[in-house]
Amino acid sequence: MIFLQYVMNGLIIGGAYALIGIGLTLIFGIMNVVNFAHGEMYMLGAYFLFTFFSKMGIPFFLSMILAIAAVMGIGFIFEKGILKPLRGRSIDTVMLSMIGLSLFIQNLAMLIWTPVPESIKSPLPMDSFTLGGLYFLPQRILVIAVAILLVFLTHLLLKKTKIGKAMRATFQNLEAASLMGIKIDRIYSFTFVLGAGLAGASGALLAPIFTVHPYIGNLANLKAFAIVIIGGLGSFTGAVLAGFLLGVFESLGAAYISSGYQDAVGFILLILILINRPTGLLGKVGQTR
Amino acid sequence: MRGNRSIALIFLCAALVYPIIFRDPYFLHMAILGGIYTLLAISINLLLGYTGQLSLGHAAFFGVGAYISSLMYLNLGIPIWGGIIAAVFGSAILGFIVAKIAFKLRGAYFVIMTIGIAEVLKLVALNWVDLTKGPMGLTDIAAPKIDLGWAGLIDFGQKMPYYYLTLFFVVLSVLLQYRLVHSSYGRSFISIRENEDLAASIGIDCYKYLVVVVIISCSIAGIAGSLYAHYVSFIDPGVFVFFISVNAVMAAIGGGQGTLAGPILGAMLFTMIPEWLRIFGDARMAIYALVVIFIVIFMPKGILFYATQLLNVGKRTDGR
Repeated sequence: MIFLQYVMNGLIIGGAYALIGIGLTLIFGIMNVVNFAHGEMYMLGAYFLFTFFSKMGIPFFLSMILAIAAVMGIGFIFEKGILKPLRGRSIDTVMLSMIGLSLFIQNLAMLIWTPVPESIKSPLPMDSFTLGGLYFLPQRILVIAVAILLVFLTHLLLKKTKIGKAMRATFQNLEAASLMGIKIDRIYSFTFVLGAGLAGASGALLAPIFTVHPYIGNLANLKAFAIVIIGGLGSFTGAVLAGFLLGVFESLGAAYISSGYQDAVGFILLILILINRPTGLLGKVGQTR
Repeated sequence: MRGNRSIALIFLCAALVYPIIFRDPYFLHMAILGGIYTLLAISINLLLGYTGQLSLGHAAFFGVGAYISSLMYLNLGIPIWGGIIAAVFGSAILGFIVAKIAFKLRGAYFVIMTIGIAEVLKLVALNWVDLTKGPMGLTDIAAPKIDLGWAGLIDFGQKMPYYYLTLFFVVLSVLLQYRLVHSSYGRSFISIRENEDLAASIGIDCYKYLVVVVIISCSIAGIAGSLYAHYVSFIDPGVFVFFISVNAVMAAIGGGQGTLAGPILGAMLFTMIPEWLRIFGDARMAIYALVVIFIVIFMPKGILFYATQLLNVGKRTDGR
């Protein structure tokens, strides 16, 4: 029973991991940008929730929506201000610029919010309830519910809407898509803003469970990359699957091996994948860059 | 070529007399740290500048060198000389494993793999308390003393002897880099950087050469770690921090990747820049990040390139 409890806890955190993972994989797959600032979007999501809810006293759910919107706004500024002028530059140049950007956001956050870790007290009841012998905290239920909802909405967006179709076309063939009259610039902006919003949502969802400090983006970033590679670069379903897998394995690893090495689990999974199936769980064979 | 050699000799002479002219301990301190960063920058340059593979986790190999060397001294009483050799082997073996796994694929995979290895090693250093003392770190890592009999005693615990020790390894690495780059290996490295498919088509075993260059690169990073540990005499899991990796990469790029002198120039600059930025107080690292972005976007060929262009010398040493 306790084993199932660990699996359940892992799945809940895994939901948030899936969100941050699909954001990164979309940005990589469509824009060919290795976005090292992705973890900072997660961090900003958490801090905006802290500012709106804990500092300004805006209702919790409204704060959450505002936080996600604010991260999307920042994503929009970065896309237009930095990524757009760098279009056509080598993938390494863009990657290093994003690393610089990530350092910048992190240290700016430290100046604005100070390095002191903050905690957000969730307004949801703190008593857990039992269901089928498993314990559930309302805040954690919220995490998994919202995560599944957002994954589902993103899926619908990609499959059913016109812009989703354009995004998939861009993913498959940039030149052909632009010849068909798809405005690549708009697709890029939309993709980056969407990815940033998903990472921000992930941060805002997990913030009331963990503490918030300016450096939480580092680990989030590394885990996001592990998820994306485990799932297969550019694969949406792969990222969702890998996000949940990572959550479960971390939870089990912390419980049965050592909690000190919990954050190393993603990397160990990553190595196992690279040794056995370098293109990731659902990556296309031959797609190696 | 001869011109370059005499310039190199002039710089070597300048480096040799530097501690005699600048006796201020702060200048010596910065020069020693600059030397250690030079080793890291050369290490990155071999990889990035000559084969085009970016590592953002060189702190891993630096840190492993530092920990191996320190633990050998503290637990077995082996001085830095043995420590450096062990550090080279330790870092090289780690690099070999990373390269074996990561070079099944290219580009972003190697970058993520190196960052990941540094993070995991940081966790190991934090959690393996019996060996590493965890977050407390290792203290009292002394620099060696050499008794020369009647000629006196060289105490490397003092700054000036340590400066020359560091300089020795810097010169050694520069020479190694020079020999390597001008050998058939170096030409193979550059061909991999320029076009891997083409290099493979003319019979260059790219995978083998990439593994070799990672091993050499990591060995040099290990030496840097060992020198660092015995210089500051204290290390903690902070030796694995991302900033060290980024700063080493920036030194190689900022100075001029794929050149021999670039990493040296860059390392000096990127040892000084974080110091100069102290005037900004808490905003220091944010400004540093802006410097990084600026160099990556506007000076991707490095300061050396723009300087030589300005002087209209225009001579490159990498055969590009």
